[in-house]
Amino acid sequence: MAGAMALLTVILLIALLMATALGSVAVSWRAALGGDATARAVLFDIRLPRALLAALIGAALAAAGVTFQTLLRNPLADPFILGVSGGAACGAAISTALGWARIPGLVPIVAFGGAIAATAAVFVLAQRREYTDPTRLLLSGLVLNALFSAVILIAFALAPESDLTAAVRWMMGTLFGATWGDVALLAVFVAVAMIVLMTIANDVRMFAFGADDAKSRGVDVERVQRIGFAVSSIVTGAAVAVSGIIGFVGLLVPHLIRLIWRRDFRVLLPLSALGGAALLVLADAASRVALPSSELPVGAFTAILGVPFFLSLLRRSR
Amino acid sequence: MNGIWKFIVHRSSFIVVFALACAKAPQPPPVVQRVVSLAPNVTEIIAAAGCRGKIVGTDDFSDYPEAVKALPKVGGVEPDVEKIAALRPDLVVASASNMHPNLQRALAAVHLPLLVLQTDRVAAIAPAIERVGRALRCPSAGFAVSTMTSTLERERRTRARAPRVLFVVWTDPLYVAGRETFAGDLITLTGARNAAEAKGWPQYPLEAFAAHPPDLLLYPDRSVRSRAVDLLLHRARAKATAVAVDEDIFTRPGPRVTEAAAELNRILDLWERSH
Amino acid sequence: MLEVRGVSFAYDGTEAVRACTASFAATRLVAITGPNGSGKSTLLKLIARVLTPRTGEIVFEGRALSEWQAKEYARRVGYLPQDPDPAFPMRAIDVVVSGRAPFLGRFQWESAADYEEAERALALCDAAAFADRYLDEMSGGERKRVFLARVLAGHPKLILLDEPLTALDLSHVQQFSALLRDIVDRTGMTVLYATHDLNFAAAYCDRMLVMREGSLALDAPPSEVMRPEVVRELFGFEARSVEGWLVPRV
Repeated sequence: MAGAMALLTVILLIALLMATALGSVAVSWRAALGGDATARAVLFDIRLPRALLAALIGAALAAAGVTFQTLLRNPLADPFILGVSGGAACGAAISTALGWARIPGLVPIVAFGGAIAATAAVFVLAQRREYTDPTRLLLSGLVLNALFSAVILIAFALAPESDLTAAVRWMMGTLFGATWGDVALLAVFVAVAMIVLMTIANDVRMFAFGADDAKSRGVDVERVQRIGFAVSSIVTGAAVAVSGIIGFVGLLVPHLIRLIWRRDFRVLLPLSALGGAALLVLADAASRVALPSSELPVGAFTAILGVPFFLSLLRRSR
Repeated sequence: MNGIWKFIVHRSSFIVVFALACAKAPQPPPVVQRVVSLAPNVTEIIAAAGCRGKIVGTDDFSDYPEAVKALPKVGGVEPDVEKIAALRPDLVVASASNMHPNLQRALAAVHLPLLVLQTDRVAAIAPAIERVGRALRCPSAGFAVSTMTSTLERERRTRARAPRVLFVVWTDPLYVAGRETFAGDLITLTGARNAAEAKGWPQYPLEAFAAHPPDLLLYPDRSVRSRAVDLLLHRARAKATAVAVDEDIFTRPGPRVTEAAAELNRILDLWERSH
Repeated sequence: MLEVRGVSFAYDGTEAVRACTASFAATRLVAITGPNGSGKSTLLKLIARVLTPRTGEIVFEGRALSEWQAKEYARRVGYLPQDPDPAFPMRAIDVVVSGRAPFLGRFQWESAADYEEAERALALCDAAAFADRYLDEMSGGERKRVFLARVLAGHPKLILLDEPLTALDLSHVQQFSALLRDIVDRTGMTVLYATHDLNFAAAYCDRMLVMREGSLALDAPPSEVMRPEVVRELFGFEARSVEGWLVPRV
């Protein structure tokens, strides 16, 4: 396990290095350190925070993904499954329709609020007297996401046209304009989430055998579920509020890690976080340099980079 | 049913369907008295051609000339076809740039002819006015075109130190007017340089903005707030002169392009004087 | 060792177990039989602390279940649910060693000693040969043995198995039943298992419990249960005894 962590950390560092070296403007580290103000601005105020933010978001999404997959015993679970993405997108769409997108910083706050409200609603819907039914949880999340999609379509139809393109781009995921403030904020969320998840990791991995089995082995099933879902949804909500909805990372990075290392949740959690971070850093860099002096949605590149790798692993495995 | 009847019915239904498919789009009457406009710039074009009196209804956003504000409104991107039909127009005029793809069919279903104008570039405005003039038999179309063209030519400039201009339509992410757009044409016409090299409406990289900030940053005054622009400049650690421009004349390709060009020249002259 | 006193439970209003009372000593192999829906699984879940009884109490080693700390209890009582299946591919040894979880602290990893216990448990269940194989490469019988080993990995005093023999072919049923008997005799633990198969249960068990519609209809040694009149009344089919085995009367 230590070897795997070291390997992924090295990959992440290389990815960060590449991401800061690539861009539409040619700058050198030497110039930046030497006092060239432009080079400094580009490297330290634009590229570096963006690369770090990508790493944090990738880590958040992958960690949330592997947690949901283990707690729900469902390999198709992704971090948005409990209504997080629908709620966030709904908040963003409604605020765009109201013209709030013109006020800097307002949409992410509303999006985050939407994400949390949606997750809370899903949870309340799935409560039975004795326990939280995972099937009902999944179904409620599905149904609410469908409802949110409808609201989003209506909101976009009513939104002022000039604001629409930006809103649509948000729904595809964008790391444009990442600041050190964003990095600091998300770093706090991700650090807290990772610490909490590592603390309950020993219990979470027991869910792989079923909630009843875990309970019989002394796991406080309700508590672990609640904490696991809450923390994962909150960190996902924070990631989505900052960058919009970036797909693929949360669903498939855990599978990628599992295909290579085949261990249980305690190992998969940190490895998935590192893997997700590296993937998103590379995808974001690719989205910036694919077309000259233009940027493409990062969500497209997470798939373009990840899918072939995943397929090749799948073919090589049993 | 008898075999021969079956054959006849089958064949004739086929012919009927074929005929319907070949049916032509509804044609306007020889003299058009009542017109509905589906875009603000189309309204201005019709008014400039001299046919403002024939307009009986407009889209929700038309507001120039002043008199059209009182006219009945029929909707936005997806106009209410029933409302249009209730106005009994002889012709409906739309702009190709923001027309709904099903509009032609929807109007044909209620036998309303549709005229679609290409108005995405500066050079497309004059032909649009002429087309409208012909379709509506407007008295002053020719005059409007010649006045507009000569005024526009007077506003054409070449500048020794052409400032780099970026026309920003959204700040987060940064979307700009590139080459081969209406705003891009205005920039070229007035002798400035468009800092955006791509065509259309690309998303502009923040670091390019930071490394080579434009001399002038223009933005439409309704859709973009000055606070957002300040934030953008702060994020990029860039210095640029940011000027808000009248959204109505800078984003509506129509006869007021002359005002836009004049305004832009004024801004550019001011900039040149202070640099 | 284990006492069930007047325990009842209902799922969302439907009664599953009604006022059950029974007591179990150490070194016993006890089969719980009864038609589907009679409350066998529920009773096992109540003893395993997966469910909490609505009335009555369960006392284990002199202490009520509510007084036991969860992990402490899990170390002494093992539970194997119906159709166990880890959601992701795992090796047999990893499945079994996860049975040591109640012994680990919050941040502890399994030690070499834990792996040794796991291997010992696999050997006990005659499954040592496929310790390194993945579960999806095994047959149903082999998989059941791995899961049994998982339950045994912690040296529990009491194990609860929910229909471990269902869907096994007959030779495996016989093997498994013999294995359970062997484990009880060798280690002194008590095994409570739910089953549909009366004959194999009777052949190996010390006692049989028959449940019907949530109540404990009969709690007796096999010889008293395996009678045609009992079977007719409690299970609803006609049988006759042939050399101690109950055979359907055709």
